Amino acid sequence: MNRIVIIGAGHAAIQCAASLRDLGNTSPITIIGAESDLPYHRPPNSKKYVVEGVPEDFSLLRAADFYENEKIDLLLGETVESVDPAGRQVKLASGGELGFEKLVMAPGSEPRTLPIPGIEHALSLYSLQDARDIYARLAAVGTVAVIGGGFIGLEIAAAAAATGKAVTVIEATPQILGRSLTPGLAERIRLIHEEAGITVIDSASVEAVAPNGVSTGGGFIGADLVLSGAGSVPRTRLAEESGLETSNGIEVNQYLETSASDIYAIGDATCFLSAAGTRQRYESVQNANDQARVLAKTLSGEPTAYGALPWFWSDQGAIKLQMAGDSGDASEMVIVEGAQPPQAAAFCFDAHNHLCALETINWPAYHALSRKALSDGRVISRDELATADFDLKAALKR
Amino acid sequence: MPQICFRQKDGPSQVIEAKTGQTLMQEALRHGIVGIIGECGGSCMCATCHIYLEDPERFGLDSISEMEETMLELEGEDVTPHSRLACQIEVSPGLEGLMVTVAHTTENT
Repeated sequence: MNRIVIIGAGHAAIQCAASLRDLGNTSPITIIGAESDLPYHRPPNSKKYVVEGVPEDFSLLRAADFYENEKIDLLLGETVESVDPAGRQVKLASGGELGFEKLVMAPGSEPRTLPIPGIEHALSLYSLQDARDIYARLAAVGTVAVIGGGFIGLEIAAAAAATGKAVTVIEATPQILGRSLTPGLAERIRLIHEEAGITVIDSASVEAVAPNGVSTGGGFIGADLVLSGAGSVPRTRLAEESGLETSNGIEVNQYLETSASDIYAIGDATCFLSAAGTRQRYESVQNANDQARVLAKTLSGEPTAYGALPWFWSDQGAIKLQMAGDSGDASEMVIVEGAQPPQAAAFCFDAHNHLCALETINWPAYHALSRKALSDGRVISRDELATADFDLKAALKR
Repeated sequence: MPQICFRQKDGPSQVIEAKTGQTLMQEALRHGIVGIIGECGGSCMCATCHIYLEDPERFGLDSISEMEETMLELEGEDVTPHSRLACQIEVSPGLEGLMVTVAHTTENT
């Protein structure tokens, strides 16, 4: 029995199955997904579908007949109740059992539920069905409160504001996007949102949610609809119950192997060991797809370590925010203005004064150039950039 | 619903009826055209829907944006003056008879 079982049916799971077939791997493959919709692109949920509605022909990850054509068993609306690592079996919630030679866990992440009274009155966004539910409610309201100034919260806030809703974003820390972005750019993004009519309240502790608003330490904020975008948590329950090592996610080594033999994990839920020896967890389409491709190689007899450059994007109203590299590694940054405001770029440098990340607002050319250069392992020093007056194109031509 | 022909570099081609208002990438994906992945969902953040257009002048397409141009540049030597990203082309009745060649032949693994 050489079956590969993949738990989850998001970007990582589907890319892994597709890459396995692409590499000529003919093992039987079974994908088990809890949602009943055919596997779909997740980014449009917060960027588009919440305000425009989910179309019937929503964006699929692969054509509907892909799975049959590629002989991939797709079990949708099904969950795994337990995993027996030693017996190499998974037990399905519907009662059946499935044996595996290799198991791939790709369970993803889910919205964090704040431990406060009345949180059930706040809607959160993860699945396509959540987008349908939010759209159905959003259409009928005038005022919206969004708890959390992270990517998802701000994408929904910007989309809702663009359709004429009065939107308030409530952030617990002093700065929106504080954990994800260099402070200078985060402040700019806040100003752009405020100019677009969004109210941003920072340093606010949310104490309770009611059907008509949010109680904070600074007072009650009335809203017809409350949305919660307070970050995500990795889905580790099944891994924990199966005896796998977990911390901030399912722990895997550079080959994406968990602490149990022949069990691997990819995507949002993995906490992987980087080449530098630190543990990292990224929630992104890039991370999901790149880990999936690397694992497909390993599972097809070509052990491959994961070490792709992280990149990410967020569409927030008129802002296209793009990131290449991880600014968490940065010790210093330089912010450069573009010719067309609010265009801007934050050059992030590591301890050796080498470019380690570039964050951009409405500057796709710089994003693309830096992504290519950093992916290729090109060393770009701060001096080189300064000599070129931080014109990235000119600096790279040298 | 214009008919659009997708051809693979190594031969086989497939004619699809594309829905007006969708992007060429979405329609190619819906019909399972090999080599069109649309990894970023159409945000012009990858180049996994790289195509070559035959006779693009005939179809009066919008000019290419700076963002699309940059993403294409990263494709290196595969890029020709006929290169486009399918996610940046909206299907309209005027595209009837458009011939497209897919740049990549596999999943790009």
